[in-house]
Amino acid sequence: MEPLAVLRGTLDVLVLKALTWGPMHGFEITAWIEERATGNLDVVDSALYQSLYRLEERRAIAATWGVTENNRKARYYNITPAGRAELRNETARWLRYAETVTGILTTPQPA
Amino acid sequence: MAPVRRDGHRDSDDPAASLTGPAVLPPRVRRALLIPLRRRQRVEAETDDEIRFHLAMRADALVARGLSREEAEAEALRRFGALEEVRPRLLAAAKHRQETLTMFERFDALRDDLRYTFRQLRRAPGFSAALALTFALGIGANATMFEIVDRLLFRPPAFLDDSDRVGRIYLRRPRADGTERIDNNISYLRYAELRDKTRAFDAAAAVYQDERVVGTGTDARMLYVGLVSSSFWPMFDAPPLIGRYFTADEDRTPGGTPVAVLSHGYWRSQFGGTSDAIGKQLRVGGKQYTIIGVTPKGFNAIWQSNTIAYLPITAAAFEMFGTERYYMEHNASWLEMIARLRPGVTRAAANAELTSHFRQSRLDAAARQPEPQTIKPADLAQTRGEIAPLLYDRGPKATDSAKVATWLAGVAAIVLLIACANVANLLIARGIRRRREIAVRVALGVGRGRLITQLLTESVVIAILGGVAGLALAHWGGGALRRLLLPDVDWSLVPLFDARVLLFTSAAAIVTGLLTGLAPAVHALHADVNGALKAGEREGGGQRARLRTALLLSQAALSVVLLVGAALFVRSLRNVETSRLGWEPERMLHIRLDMQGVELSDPERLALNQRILDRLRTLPGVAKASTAFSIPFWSTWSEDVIVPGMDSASRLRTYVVNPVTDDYFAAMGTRLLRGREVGVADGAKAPHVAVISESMGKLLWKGQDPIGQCFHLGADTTPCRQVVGIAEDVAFGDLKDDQTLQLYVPSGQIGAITARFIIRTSGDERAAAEPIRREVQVMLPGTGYANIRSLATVLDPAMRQWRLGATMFTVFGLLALVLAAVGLYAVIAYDIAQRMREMGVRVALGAQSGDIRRLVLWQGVRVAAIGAALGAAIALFATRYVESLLFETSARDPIAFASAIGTILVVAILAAVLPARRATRVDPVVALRAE
Repeated sequence: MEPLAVLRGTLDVLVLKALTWGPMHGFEITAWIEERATGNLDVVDSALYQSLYRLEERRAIAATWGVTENNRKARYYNITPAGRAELRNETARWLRYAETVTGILTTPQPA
Repeated sequence: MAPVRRDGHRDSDDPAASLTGPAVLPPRVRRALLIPLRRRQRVEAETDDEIRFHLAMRADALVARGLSREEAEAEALRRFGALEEVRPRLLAAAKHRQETLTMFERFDALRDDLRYTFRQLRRAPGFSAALALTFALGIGANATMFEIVDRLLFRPPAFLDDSDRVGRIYLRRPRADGTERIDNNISYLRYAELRDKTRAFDAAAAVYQDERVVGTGTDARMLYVGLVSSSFWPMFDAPPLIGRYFTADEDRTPGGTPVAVLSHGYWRSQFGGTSDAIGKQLRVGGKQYTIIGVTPKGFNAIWQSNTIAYLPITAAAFEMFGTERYYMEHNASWLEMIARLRPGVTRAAANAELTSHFRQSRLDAAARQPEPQTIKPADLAQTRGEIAPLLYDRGPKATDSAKVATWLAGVAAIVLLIACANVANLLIARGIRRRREIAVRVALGVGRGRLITQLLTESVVIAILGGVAGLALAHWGGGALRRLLLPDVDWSLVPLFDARVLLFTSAAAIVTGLLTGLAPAVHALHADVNGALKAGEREGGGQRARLRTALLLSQAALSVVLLVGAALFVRSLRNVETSRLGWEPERMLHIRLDMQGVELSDPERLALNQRILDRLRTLPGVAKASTAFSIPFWSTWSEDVIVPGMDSASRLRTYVVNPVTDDYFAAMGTRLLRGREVGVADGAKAPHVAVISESMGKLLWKGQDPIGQCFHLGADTTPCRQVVGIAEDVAFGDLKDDQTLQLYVPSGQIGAITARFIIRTSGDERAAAEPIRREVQVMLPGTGYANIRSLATVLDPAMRQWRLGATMFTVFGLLALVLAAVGLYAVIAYDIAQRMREMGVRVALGAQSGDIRRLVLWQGVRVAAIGAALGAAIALFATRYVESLLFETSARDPIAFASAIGTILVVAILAAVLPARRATRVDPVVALRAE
């Protein structure tokens, strides 16, 4: 099936979720999301970095330069308490939204 | 996946070198050369790094899945997104992020600093309060002086459009004695000529402020009214609150239309602030004016004092002069002219044009005389017109008041410096106690910059607290001073939160805080970290002590400078007050008649004057009464004097003519030194006589007896007047250096001109004024009006600068003294506390309490003495600049210097007494044991 475009704003919450696994650099986050999306989401890499910078600007995540196993310089991101709170809220909203829409769409037709 | 190391180690791999953006040097080269990247370039470089890294990782992953390197890199690029589009957007987002984060960082740092500061302040409330109070005194003094100087020299009138292009017109011409005469008062005719002809101006107005009796009967008050031309209103951006302003039609010569515009305050207080004030009548002087409008709140024309109403200048002028001639001839110079420069016209060009029109005006006037006069070319060449700044004290006739005020602003700044030195000393002392804490922080890795910011935040916060208190001090405490020194200004119109003063005070507080905190902050940072962390370190020696002593010395020196200034000005004031004016200003009233267009012939006029005089002399409150015309500091009539056999007597000085009658000298309090006075007995048919002033006699008839000599007044065709009496000199225009000579002629022998009456009352003249005025009023024909005023009020402005100087210098000098004393006490006390061990040793070795006391006192006195010597040297150098502001006092007056030095020495001894006592009470056992 054709991968779906990621809806606006959803990328942010996906990134936050990824980072609850621990500090990651940009590629790691991309790989993590792609893995769990199992091909259903079409993530444009540059959009991910836009999202990362936005999150960093509102201090939901923080960034430091570090070094990978292969001695490469990489920018690592980690989630902040404010980010965790945002994740909780947005997850709750998303679930509620999804539930409501799903509920409406799966309403059986009247006989 | 967590990073292995967080130390920014760089790898040599660089698959997408094409990503380096435009830069002076490619980031890699810069990094290689270890040049620190500028922040913007750094963000760009880092973003590029990140992108590059991502692409590399993606490519690696794809290669691992079996693609070739080139295919992998191409696919990586494709999945990233179109690089030419995407990279700029990412760079922009990264920069924005960085700016926001930096801002957050700074706010966080500030918030932490503030929190820390307030915690420190709360921990030592007494200490903090003392610091804040010290600042409050210094900043408050400066805020007060700023308000005064601002009003004198800088603040433009409210609502004035384009205020830096508006100015006041001054006309210069040479006098007969060679000096220059500068007039800001000109005749209506001249105003009209200059207004019509000068193309350099796109707006011009005639203005005149006068004190008039407003209202009737028991409600009558002497208040300031503004006489303005209709062209005055368009120069302001102040639409009327209700009603309208008068138009050119209502301001036509000869008599205008009797309408009035009220000020906001007067409208609220006297007319209830309702719109039915329009159409009501306002009685000003002898005339009724119909109210047509009200000015907005805060409007006060161009004057400092409270103007309650504005009248068309032609309407009120006719009442003043009683004749239509005021606008046809130049004999009355009374109004002032203000004008606005046309856009693009320079002041120099306007001055040139004014000059040529003024010269032409003089030539025209001379040609129109019944006996045409000529003006000498040399005189004409020195005839000039100029437009000067609107504020009177910035024009060519600036009073010394403004100069004194400016000096005082400098003095206030010195007081603030002394206050800063105090606070700095105290902060340094406290900083020594906090060495340990600061050392710990340095050891924990707080950067120097951060530490300095923190320490500076403390002093700035204390300074701002002090500034707020100082503002309150200036508003209420300074209020009394302001009213004393600038009584003309209506201080009730000044709000507490005036923008300019607030701005000034905030700036002063911040600068003060930074300045004061710098020395202690830098000192704290030079702390030896290891030494501080060790216990048992004794404190307070070496470099810090030197700085503290230096601060104390400068405080003492500055205090002495101020005290010298205070002493000099106080002596000046005393000299002024006891100087011989030549007349007695107490209990003097002056009456001027406005004949309101009533035409009287000369004999009728004379008869009326005599009747009024006779009546005045019978009134119970009147001790003496006479007529006069020239009044010191107010109005003068000068004429040429020709002495037979002497060439150009006129050129020597200005001769003030005063037509008088019996009792003039007794009424004025001017002593008649020799001979007799002149009066009614010297009528028109009697021999022409005069009384002259002592200096006039000495100048014109050196070595001879002036009595019996004669001179011509006005022209040598007039009869030669014989001198029959010599009177003492009167100061007419200048308290310090009056160059006028006076002569008194019988009023019957000089022709009937508008007479004025002078009255010496037996009691308080202010209470007697209105009843006396009414007595005269009933005797005037038709709608004539009698204006009365107290003569002491004309003297006030002349005395003001001395009073200003003496009062403010004394206040500031004492303030400085108090601050220096407190500073001296604090430092000596602290020092002794640190030296307790040493004191204990001394006592243990046999020192008596007397010895200890002497030691401490000597320490204080030594610093004060050196500082005093320094201050005296500075004062010796500096006071010559104020010599022109003093009155009969030398700038090197030894008594002033001696008293200033003596005062600071006494204060130093007093400040050291308490610590000395404490030092003598030390228990050697306790002191030696303590650590």
